[in-house]
Order: sequence, then C-alpha cells, then structure tokens
Amino acid sequence: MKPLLQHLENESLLLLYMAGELPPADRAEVESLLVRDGGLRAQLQALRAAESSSFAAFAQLDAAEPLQAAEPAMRRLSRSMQQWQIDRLARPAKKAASRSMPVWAWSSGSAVAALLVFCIWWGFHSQPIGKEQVAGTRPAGNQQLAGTQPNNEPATGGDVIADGSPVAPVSPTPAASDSSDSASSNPNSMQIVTVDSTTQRLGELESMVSEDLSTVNVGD
Amino acid sequence: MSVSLRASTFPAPAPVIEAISDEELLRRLRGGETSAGETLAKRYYPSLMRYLVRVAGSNHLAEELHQQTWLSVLEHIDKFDATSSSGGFKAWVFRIATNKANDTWRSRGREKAAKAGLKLVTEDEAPNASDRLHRSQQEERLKRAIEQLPENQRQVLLLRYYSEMKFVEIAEMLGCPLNTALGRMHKAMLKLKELMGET
Repeated sequence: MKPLLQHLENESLLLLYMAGELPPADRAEVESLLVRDGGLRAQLQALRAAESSSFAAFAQLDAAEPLQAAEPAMRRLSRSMQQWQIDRLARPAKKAASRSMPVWAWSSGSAVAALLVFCIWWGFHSQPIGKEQVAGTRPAGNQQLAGTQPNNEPATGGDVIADGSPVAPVSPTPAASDSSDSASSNPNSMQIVTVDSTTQRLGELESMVSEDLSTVNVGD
Repeated sequence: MSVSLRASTFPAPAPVIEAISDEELLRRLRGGETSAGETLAKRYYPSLMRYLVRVAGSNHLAEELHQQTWLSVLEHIDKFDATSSSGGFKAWVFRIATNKANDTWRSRGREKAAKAGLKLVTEDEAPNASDRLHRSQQEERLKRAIEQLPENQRQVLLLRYYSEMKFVEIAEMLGCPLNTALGRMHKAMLKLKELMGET
C-alpha cells in the first residue's frame, strides 16, 4: 500500500481522486477499489454532488454580483507600483549618501581644523622667548601694548613669565623714569615696548641692584 | 464572417503580454518594468477580488485587502523564489491575501469586522436598494449559507474554488496537514449543501 492510501481517510482520498491530484499508482489503486466497493462508489457520487452544488453556488453568486470596475483599483495599484519603483531606485542612492559624510560635517570639520591650526600657531607665537623674558616684555617681533593684557591671559595687573606664573609688575625706577624712554615711567600708559629697550632696562636694573648691594656691604 | 468582422473592427489585442508567464513578468517587474506588475495584477484581479469579497464580506474591504496584498507583493518581491515556492506566483499572491484577511480579522475582531462589513455592504449597496429587492431569494440563501460556514472550512473551500490551487498547496499555505485540509473541504461541501437545502 502506498503511504497516501494508508494515511488518508476515504473522503480525503476521494477528494484527491476527483481533483486528479493522486499519483498514478495511487490513482490506479483507488480505481480498482471503486470497482470492487459499491459503498465507496456511492461515497464518490455524494462527494461529486456536494462539490458541484458548492461550486455552482459560487458561480451563481459571482454572476449575480458583478465585480466592481477594475479600472479605479488598477489605477491606484499602478500609482503604488510607480511609487514603489521610485523608492526602489532612490534606495541605493540614499544608502550611498548615508555612507559618505554629509556636507555639514565636511564644512564644520574644516572650520574646526582651521581653528585648531590657528590655536596651535597662536600658542607657539605667544610663548615667551626663553628665560630672558621679564615682566612687561614680549618676544621679539611681537610688539605688544604695555599695560594691556591679551585676551587669553589672566588680568593680573602683571605679566606672565615662561612658566606661566604671573609676576608683579615692575614699578618704574627713578633711573628708568629719567631715561629718554619717558613712556616707560608709567606702566599703565599706552606704549610700545620692544625687546631692545627691555634689554637696556634690564641692564640698568642689574647695575642699580649691584650698586645697592655694594653700598649694603660697605655699610656692614 | 463574424471573425473577420471582429478582426477588422477591433484592434488586435496584445497577445504577447497574455502569453508571457508569471515568472517572466516577475523578472521584468524586478527589473523596474512596472507595466509588467500591472499586467500581473490585471491577470489575477478577477479571481483574487472574488476570493477577497467572499472572505471579507464586502466589496470595500475586499478592495482594501487587494491593494494591501499587492503592496506586500511589491515589498517582498525580491525574496520570492518561484522554484522553491509550491504553487508558484499565484499561490504566493493568494497566501499573502489570506494572511492580510486574517490580519484584518484579528486586528478588528471578528464581530466588529462582521458588523463593519455588514455596514459597508449596506452602504455600498444602498443606491442599488431597489436592485436588492429584485435579487432572487436563492442568491441570498447562498450568500448566507457561505457566511455561515466555519471560518477554516470556508477558507479551504474558497481557496479551492477561486485560486484553483492543489490541495497540497492549500494545506501548505494554511500550515496544516493535507488530511486536515481535505477534511475541512469535505465538511465544508457537505455543510454548504445542507445549509442550502435547509434555508
């Protein structure tokens, strides 16, 4: 016996037989059974009658209820298909666009990079030139208005030496006030201090200190 | 004589389109030819719509389900493999339509949907109320008898009649054993016959 004949009930077998969906071997087997078994033949007749009446009922209903015109539905469907096609074509482009960096990222990235370069450049150029740097002075070539502070430095009233710690402003000395550089006598006045004048002042200060020390020693 | 008259009167239809297989139309649709999709939709419109009308109980709901079915077809068209799917494209479309109808039933609730369907039917047919009066009692009886069938039995019967799918394919689509699908078909036919005789 074939598996289908073993496992299926009579009605199921007969339905498959009626539908012509049995394998040839099973079909032959069922036909031989139908020849031998009158009850099975009656069952087949009843099934055929039930099927034809059911299908006739559907056919009758379909004939009585004509379908709505297909055109509006087809037009809607056609629009949907065109939209689907547009979306489909746009999808790879969207994917590619999402993979690459957006324009705003490029522009803002460039701006940040330029700012960074500027800050580094500013950092290097605003550094004092070694240990010689003293209060109220600036590196060579970087002229600065004395008594004013750059924006990025704390307003201490003094200056910043190489290690970044603020020092008290040097009060003008009589020698300094007597010097030809009259502007340097007033540290709050607006004046240009160059490296040359600073070194000159430094020399004067050193000589004054050594003179004071020598007088102290002599006194002792 | 009549043949030559028809031939001379009407432009010859496009036999090429009708002769093209579902698989070929699908291939073209995948390639971006939307007219191929329209041809497919037209090809299955009568059987699919009739099936959906019987399942949903109203033309309005059936049309909505028809639209949803085709949108789903488009959405999953790249995943469909005609060689691995038994029953081919037609079985696939009917499976999607059945799932959509089942989803509608589930989401709305059977009673609510039945009421809505009834309401829609009334609204749809309100302008033709006079026609309804002329509809034969026999048709009303048939309709009521079909609607009285248990859902699972009705589904097998409708699929068998409208999709002309094989029982094996129907069983596979519904996710039940072949014997169960055949049993439902058998019961549905007997019940329908009985209901039509009673009413």
